[in-house]
Amino acid sequence: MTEETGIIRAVLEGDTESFRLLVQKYQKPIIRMIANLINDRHICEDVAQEVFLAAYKKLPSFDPARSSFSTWLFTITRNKSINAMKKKRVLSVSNPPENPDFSEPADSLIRDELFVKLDRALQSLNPGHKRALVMAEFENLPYEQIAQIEGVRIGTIKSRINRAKQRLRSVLDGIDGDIQ
Amino acid sequence: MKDHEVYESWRQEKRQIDVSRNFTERVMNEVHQCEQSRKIPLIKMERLIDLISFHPLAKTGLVAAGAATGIARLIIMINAILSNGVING
Repeated sequence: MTEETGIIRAVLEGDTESFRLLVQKYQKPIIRMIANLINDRHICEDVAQEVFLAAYKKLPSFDPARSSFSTWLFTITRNKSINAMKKKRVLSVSNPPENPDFSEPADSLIRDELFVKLDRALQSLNPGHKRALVMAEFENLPYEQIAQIEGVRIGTIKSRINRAKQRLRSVLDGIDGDIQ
Repeated sequence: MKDHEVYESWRQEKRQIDVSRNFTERVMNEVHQCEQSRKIPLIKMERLIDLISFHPLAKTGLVAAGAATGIARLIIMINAILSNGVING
């Protein structure tokens, strides 16, 4: 029995406080995924709160034989993010980094401009492509897990990520080198 | 500045996220409130809806009970019609 399974069992047996350990473990990736999907830092914590509350309520229906807890939680996050995007169609651009590590101010400006372009390109992606890219590139989730969360085949996920990367690559056209 | 460096740098920026210090506390407050509301008598409608929504067995039970009620009503109706037919005939 993993530590996580033990925590889930404790919560299900009435030890509500144990749920805190799950919140602490997953809050950062969950908030980050929501922030990158809906691109609105103001409401991402509210959506994340909804995710954890839904997870708590649905915990009795979580089946470890069907998926890992993280996959299950990311699936709830995906669904809540889709709902939040439907409620609030946002197309703002995230703030440029506060501490650029490029020595030349000109470089920093160019980089900030490229970041803004990449942000815009990310937000303009097809929603399915964006979710696949966010989970793969920012959450480092394996393709298999992303496929399980999205309820599609791995090949579909690979294709969505490739298309998303192509779109982002086009933003960086004119600069030396390639996106890996 | 190569494009893969820009991309990697952007990717790292997107991985940075600040979480409010009281986030866990906010979630736990909601969880405790939810737990409190669960202690309210089972007959409360919201609790029943929650129970039915989140428990597949409860959902199945409800559908089965509905189907059984429907069949029982049908049998009673057919029986009544047949009884009337026998009496009248």
